[in-house]
Amino acid sequence: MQIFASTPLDILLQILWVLVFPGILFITTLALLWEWVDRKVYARMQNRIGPLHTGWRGILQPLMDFFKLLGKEDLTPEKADGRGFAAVPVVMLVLSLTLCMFLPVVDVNPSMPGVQGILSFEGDLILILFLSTLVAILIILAGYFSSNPFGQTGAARTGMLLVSFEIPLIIALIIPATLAGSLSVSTIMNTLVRSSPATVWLLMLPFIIFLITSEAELERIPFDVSHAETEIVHGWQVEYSGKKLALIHLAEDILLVYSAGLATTLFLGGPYLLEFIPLRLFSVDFATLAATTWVGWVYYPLVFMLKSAVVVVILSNMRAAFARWRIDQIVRYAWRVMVPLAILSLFIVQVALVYVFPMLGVV
Amino acid sequence: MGFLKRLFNKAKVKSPWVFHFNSGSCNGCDIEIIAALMPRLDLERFGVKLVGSPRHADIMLCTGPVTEQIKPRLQRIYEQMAEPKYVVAVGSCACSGGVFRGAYNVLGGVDQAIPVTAYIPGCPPKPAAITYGAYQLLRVLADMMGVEPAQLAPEFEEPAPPSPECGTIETEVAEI
Repeated sequence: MQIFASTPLDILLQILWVLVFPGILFITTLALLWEWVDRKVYARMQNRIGPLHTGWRGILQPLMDFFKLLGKEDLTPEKADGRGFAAVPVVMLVLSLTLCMFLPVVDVNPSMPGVQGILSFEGDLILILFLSTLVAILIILAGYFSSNPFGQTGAARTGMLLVSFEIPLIIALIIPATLAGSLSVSTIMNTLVRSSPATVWLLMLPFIIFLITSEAELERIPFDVSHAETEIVHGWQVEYSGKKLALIHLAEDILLVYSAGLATTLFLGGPYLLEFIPLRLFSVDFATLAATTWVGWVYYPLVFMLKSAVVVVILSNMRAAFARWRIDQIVRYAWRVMVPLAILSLFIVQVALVYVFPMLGVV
Repeated sequence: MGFLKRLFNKAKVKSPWVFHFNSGSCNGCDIEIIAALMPRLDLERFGVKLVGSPRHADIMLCTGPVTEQIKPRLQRIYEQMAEPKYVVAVGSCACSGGVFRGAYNVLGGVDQAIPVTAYIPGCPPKPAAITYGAYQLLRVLADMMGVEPAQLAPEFEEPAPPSPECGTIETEVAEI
C-alpha cells in the first residue's frame, strides 16, 4: 500500500488486494479452515473423529456453523445496553481483520525488497500491540454491556487474564524487533530471514513465550477461565445469539489466524521455506523467480499456510493436553514465571547483541 | 436467492448445537448423554457441539421428570433459546415420568411443560440409543428443511433401531 494509487487500475488492484486475495476473503477462508484443523486435531487427541459428514471430512463444518448462526433469531436482553451490545461483534470483527492486514503473505509492493504486507509502515508493530489490546477491552465491554452476572464475571476474569499476559507477549514481540533493528513487521521478517543463523538460538525462548501467551490471549483451554462453560456458562459471550454470535465466532477464528500468522512471520521466517536451503539453485535462482514472477503469488501463500498450520496444530495440542487452570494459578504463573522469563530472554538477547555477537564475529 | 435459502436450510441441519438441561433427573441420563459425545459414538461427526448457554443452542436435551420446582425455570430457559429451537426428551422419565409418574411433585414428562420434538426412551437410554435418536431428529429436520437425508451422513444407510438385547447393540456399535 506504499505506492499511492496513480491510475484507476492501481486503485482497482489495491481494492482487490484488500477485499479478495491477501485480504478479507483469504483471511476469512483461512479462519474457517484453521477452526476445522483445530477441531479435528482436538478431536483426534481425545480419540474422537470430529466433524465428518459436512464436505470432505467435515471441512465445511465451521462454514455451516457460521451460516446456521446467521440464520438464527437475534436476541437482545431487555436490560442490556442495546447499541453497545450490537456494536461489539462488528468492531471486534473489523479489528481482527485489520490485525491480519499487517501479515506479509504475498508481495503486494514489489518496489520494496522482500515480501510486504498489505499495510506496512515503520512502527506498525506498536499499532498491532495497541489493536490487540483494544480487542481485550472490547471483550470486557461485551461482558458489561450484556448486563448479565455471568457476562460481567467473565469480563472481569478476561481483564485479569489479559493484564497478566499482555506484558510477556509484548516483550516476546519486542525481541525480534531488537534483533532486526526495526519496528515494522514486514521489515523485521525480511531482516531476520537474511541475518545469520545464530539468531535462531535467540528466538527460541521468545517463540515459546509467544505461543503460551497467545494461547492465553485467545482464551483457549489452559487459560479459559473467562468462558469456563461449567461455571460461568460462556463468560462474556453468554447473552450473544444469532448473527452477533456468528460474528464473534468469526472474529475469534480470525484472531487465531492472526496469532499463528504473527508467530510465523516473526519467529518462523514468514513465507520463505526453500530459500533457506544453502544451494545456489534454491537460495538465489528460485528466490529471484519467486520474488519477480507470478510463482511468488502461489508459493508464498502456500508456505505461509503450511507454517501457520504447524503453529495452529501446536496450539490445538496445548488445548487438548492441559486442563483449565484456576484463576490464582494463572495469575501466579503469569507473574512469577512468564514475566521473569520474558525479561530474562530480552536480557540474553541484549547481551548477545552487544557483547557475544561482535566477539564471535556474527553479523 | 434460491441457492442461499437452500444453503441456510442445509446449515440448520448440519450444525445442531445442543444444550443440556437437568429437569430433575437422577443423573443417569446425563452421564449417558456425555457418553454419546465421547470417543465411542462421537456425536460431533454430525456437527453436534455441546454449548453451555441456552442462547447459543439449537437443541435442548432434557433429562428427568419435570418437578414442580423446576417447571418455571425450564419454561424460562426454553423462552431464552433463539428460534429455531427443538427439545429432545432423553430417558423414560423425560418422556413420560417413568417411575415417578403420578407422584405428587412431578409433572410426568417434559411435554407437559414445553413442546417436545423427539423422545428417546430408556432408563437410562444407551449412548447408542441417544445417537440413534439424534440421527432421527436430524432426519426429521432434514425433511422439514428440504435437505436430502443422504447428505446427513452418506455412508449411513438406515441404521437398525437399537434392540433391547445387549449383544446386538454392541455389534452394531462396532460396525459404526
